[in-house]
Amino acid sequence: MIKGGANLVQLRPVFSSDGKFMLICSGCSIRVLSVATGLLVTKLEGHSDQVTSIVVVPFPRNVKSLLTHAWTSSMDGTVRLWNFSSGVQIKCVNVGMPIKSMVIPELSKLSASQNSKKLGLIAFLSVYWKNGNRKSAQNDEGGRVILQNLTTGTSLMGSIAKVTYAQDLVVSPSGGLVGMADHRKLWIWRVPITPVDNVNAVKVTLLHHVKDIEVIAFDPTDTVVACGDHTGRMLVWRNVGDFTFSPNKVAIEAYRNSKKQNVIQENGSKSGVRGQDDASSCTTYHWHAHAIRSLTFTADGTHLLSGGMEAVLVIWQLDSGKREFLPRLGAPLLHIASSPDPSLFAVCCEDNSIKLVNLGSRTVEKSIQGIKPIASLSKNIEVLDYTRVAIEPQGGRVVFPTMNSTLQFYDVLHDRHVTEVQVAPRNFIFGSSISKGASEASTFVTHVTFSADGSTMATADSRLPEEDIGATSCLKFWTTDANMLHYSINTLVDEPHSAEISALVYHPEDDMAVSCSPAGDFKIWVQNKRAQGVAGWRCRSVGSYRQKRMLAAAFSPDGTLLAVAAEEVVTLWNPISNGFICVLSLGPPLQPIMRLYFVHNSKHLVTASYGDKPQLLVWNLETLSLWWSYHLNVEAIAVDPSSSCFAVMASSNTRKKTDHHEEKRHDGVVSLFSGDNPSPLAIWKIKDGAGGALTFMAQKHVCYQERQGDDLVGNNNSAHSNLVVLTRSGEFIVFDPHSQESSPKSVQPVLEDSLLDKGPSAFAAMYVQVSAHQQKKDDLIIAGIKDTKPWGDLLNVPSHVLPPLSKIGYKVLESFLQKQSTQ
Amino acid sequence: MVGMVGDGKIVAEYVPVSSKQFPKSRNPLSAESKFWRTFKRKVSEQQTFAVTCINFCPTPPHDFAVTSSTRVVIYDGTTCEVKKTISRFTDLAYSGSFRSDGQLLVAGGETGIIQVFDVNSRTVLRQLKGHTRAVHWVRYSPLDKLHVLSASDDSTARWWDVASQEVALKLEGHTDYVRCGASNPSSADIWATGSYDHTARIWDLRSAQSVLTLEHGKPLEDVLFFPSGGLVATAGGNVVKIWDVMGGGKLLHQLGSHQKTVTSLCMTKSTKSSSASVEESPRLLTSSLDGHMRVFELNSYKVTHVAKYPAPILDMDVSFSCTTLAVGTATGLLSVRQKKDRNQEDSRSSLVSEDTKLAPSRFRKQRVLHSNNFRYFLRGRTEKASEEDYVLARQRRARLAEHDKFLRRFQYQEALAAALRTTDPTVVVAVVEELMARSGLMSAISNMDIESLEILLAFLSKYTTVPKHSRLLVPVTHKVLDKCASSFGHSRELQQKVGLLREKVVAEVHLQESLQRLQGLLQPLIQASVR
Repeated sequence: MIKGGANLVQLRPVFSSDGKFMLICSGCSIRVLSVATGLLVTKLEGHSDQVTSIVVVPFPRNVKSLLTHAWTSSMDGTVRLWNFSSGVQIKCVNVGMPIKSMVIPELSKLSASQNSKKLGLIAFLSVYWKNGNRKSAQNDEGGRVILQNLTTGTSLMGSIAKVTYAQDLVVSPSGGLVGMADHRKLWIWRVPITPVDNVNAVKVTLLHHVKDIEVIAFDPTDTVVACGDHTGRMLVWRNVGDFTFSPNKVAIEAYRNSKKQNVIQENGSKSGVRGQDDASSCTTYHWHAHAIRSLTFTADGTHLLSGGMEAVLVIWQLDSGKREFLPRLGAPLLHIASSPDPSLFAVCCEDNSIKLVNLGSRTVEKSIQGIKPIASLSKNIEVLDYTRVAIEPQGGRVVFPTMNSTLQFYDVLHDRHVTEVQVAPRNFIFGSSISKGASEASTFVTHVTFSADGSTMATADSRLPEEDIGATSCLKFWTTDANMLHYSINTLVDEPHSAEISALVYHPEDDMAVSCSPAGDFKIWVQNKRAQGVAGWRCRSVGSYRQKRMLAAAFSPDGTLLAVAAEEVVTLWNPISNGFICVLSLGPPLQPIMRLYFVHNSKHLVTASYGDKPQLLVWNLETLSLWWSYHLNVEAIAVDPSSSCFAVMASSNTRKKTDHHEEKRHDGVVSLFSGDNPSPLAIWKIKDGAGGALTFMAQKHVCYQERQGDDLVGNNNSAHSNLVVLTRSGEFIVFDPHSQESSPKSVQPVLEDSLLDKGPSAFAAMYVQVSAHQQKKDDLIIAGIKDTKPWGDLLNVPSHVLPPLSKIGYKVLESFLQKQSTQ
Repeated sequence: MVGMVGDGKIVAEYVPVSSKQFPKSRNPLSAESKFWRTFKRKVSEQQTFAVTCINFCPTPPHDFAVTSSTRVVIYDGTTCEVKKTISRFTDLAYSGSFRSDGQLLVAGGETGIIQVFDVNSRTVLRQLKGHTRAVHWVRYSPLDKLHVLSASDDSTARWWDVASQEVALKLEGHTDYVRCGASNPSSADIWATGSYDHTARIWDLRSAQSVLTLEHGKPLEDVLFFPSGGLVATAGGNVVKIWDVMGGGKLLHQLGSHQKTVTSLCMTKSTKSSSASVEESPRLLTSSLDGHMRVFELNSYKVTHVAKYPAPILDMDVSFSCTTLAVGTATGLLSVRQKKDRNQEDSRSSLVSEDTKLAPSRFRKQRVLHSNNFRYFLRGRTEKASEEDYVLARQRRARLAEHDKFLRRFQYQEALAAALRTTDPTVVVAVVEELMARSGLMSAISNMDIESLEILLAFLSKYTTVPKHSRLLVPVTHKVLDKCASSFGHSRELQQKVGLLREKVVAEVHLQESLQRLQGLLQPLIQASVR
């Protein structure tokens, strides 16, 4: 069993104090990456819920041993201290409340480290306040900012801020100020120089803005505060807290008095500062068209880096307001993190990549690429059978469409990004989707499929209309070079159908592909072998069945049969002679079929329909009748190429009520079926797996990878294919569904990042899931009839021992009658 | 483990909009068709009367003689301008043709008198009198310069000794007008003539009689020997027949692709070309009263190229170097098409380059450069890298098109206007699609300025009805009309453009209706024929 993939850009990455390591939070573990190679050094595991912040203990000149220590906080309510070079947990402090964010200002200023030794390390925590959890006067829910003494493990009484929802805390580089953005307010605390023992010792000032503030940043001198709001404006306050934080009592008094009198002249002199905010000036900078997601000052404080949805890193020179750009970083920027090297910054992009930007040369030095988020499809076409993920036959890489109409090739066995192919060469434009108010892009890849030898790739991409004009789809055939890394386009077919492409399948042996569309036709594409030079592709034949919408198609494993789903019936064709063979149809009520697969090594065909009563149907191709069915909301089907099994992913919407907030989870249930038998062979529950993808990976790929000298967890002896499950959040798991070894593993206690959830005992769970979707009480509509011949083995004997015909004839007739009665 | 991409190409370059590609037509232009399309129209002149004969001079510069009404006009072979006019005919002149050395020209006429002219002085050198009726065809013998064969409406062909103005042989056998003839390129004594009595005869001048009679079946308009001399093509009615003369007059092929009478045959000369794309083997050119000129290749006798002329073609000829094609029509239109002779240009440019090669040798012995000389600062710039030098490739910045520059700056309206200025439909369509992908088309077309709107409307009225663009452009046209209707009143030109667009659409709708009507007519017929 191989688990991998991670969201690398959940949090701002943190550099170690020598700048050689980078700590990345992914789920409930922390990954330590080497900055030089980008490879994983170690993984810190121990938190049982989402890790929310990482604070690296800086390297004081006199204490060598603290070189590789880091504090982390998590939603599980604990703060832990790690030695991240060895991966050992040193300390665990239980706070008791889910922690949204943690900063430890003491660690930022090295001078204070001696004091903290004596009186303890004070951390600022932003927590979800639990009802009645603490014996506090205020009993209501919401976010709090509290102080916690990490050395002693006790928290100071009371809170320094009370907000409706816990927000992220930011500490200034020198450790003098801690800030928090709460809607349109900025909380800024002065960290006391002397050790504190009560919350009132922390001085606070508030800054106000008229828009929701997204991010804040402090400059190294602790006087300048910058914030970015959701409309893309950037505000920079100077000399923040001159009065409030002043040690001079008189000045504070004067300020308070002026506040009371509401002196208007003073407002006039403080250019741009709102109300009685304690700052000398406020400047607004505006370039971003959308929300600013990240702000960081350079080490000298003269420049400010901002990034947002435009995928452009903007470098502001604060004195002059001039800006420079580092454009086209590929995806919206989420975080910008500064490193000990003043010219090096880590930029986290929404496509799950971390880019190391050298500010001096304005270049991207390195890019660490995780699994990109699987492209989300538009709602109105989501019903179509989109092949979300494919296995490249040669290298066994998993190929899936991601944002900006790109295909990512990912080596799941080594957890490594291999390459990517942009199907529709186009610049990443964020604005195109925001104007529609939807998150999906206007162009996306809908299908990808490979020829059996992997030399040809067929893709379909589509473009959403603008004001109902210009919707189009495009079918492309690609050829690859010898090492399967570079794909070059061979044939481009604009608008192959009058509607979008709903399915694209490749013949298992020949160079032949079939595309079908809801417009009611399917087309068979063949390679134009006669032409000299590069052999292009052409449409050989077009088929339709009563002008019905065609949403799915499949070739039989030997390639002699083509099944096309025409709305609610399945039509069978001969792909060579274009002959129509027959129709598989149920009685009413009919549901349109959207997924269709042949089960290998058996006589079965599996289809999934959608609509009011979504169904999973298995047909017998020998009797041309329905074999068994379930009422199941099928999300994906994968067929095992080496056995007669297939896996089905169904979704279940379960609302998980956690202590602090309610979250809607879409868990997926993966069940393994054999074509003959309606009872599932195994069931697994995938946490948050709905909307993910499912595919089988042939054993040869796993073996091939193992021979390369890597010690993998795969089962070497089994000849079975491995199942690959890819979730929407970019995590995946590869396991052998047939082996017994993987089952015990999956029974292990459920961690947040563990994908497999249920073991053999999940039978009951399965039926609970199923009943949630169906109105009828029976799960099985039609029980499987094991033996196709009703007379059993009666005739399977040599003729000389066969009983007389008068006897057999009666038996046979009787058995026929029985069969009818069962039906 | 997380993969790492460590090259410097992570910050993506701006991806320019690539112009839209459309599938090639089902019958792509063959190499040959391309070759014939390179013939560009050089001269299109209206003569006073039907052009009955065009003949190219065998010697360079391949002047050609055009016979029309009572004149023979000699055009220059390269510039295609009128060089000389011979108008010493009392009645219609026919068949003005050059001698093999190009010095003399012979022409028949309605009077039956054959005249021999000096091309330079235009004086009549000899008059061959003997035919009792009009002489429609007369040619010099290609090998000797002393004899002429003529074919006349008195159903005889005569072999003349020009010097003595005597009839050397009188070839009798045809029973109707003899209107055409041809000499055998491999033998000076073998001639073919074609007559309105539906036969072509092969004559051997040594025996002075017809050795072979080819029954064409229609009145013959032209005969032609193949370069080998073994095959003869005859044109009569709307068919061209290919005969094997060596094999005893066996009919080999019958080319029936013309609608009306085939009037003229000619053959491109087999050129031993090397680099230029001139075809290796000869081609048969036929022209007809239906106004078509067709090119046949001679292995499978398939049509490789067709050209349409506005009037019935009476005669045509192609120059010996296969660079000039002259066609004369019944309305008197003379159309000359000429191919740019690449060889000539190449030879010229090579001459020039030789000149320039000579030039630097004069500067070579210039003394050492000093800093007071400007070239001192440019020294070494053109130095080539030697073998052991490490060559750094210069990073070229991609040239962006005008519309790409605007698209990069998100100026959609300007980008659309820039694309429209290129007037290339593939570019405009690609930019429109890109704008749609960015959801920027609406902002680009609303509030367009009058000038760009004019160009846009002109573009739309030109291409909306083109089938390959219409799927995209019809909805775009709708949107443009919706969004910009308010500004149509501002300019008269805009109103004209909209009117034009309307006319185009109405015409297209009419076309579609008539096509549907035709389809409705045909469908029962097809179904009936299937049964």
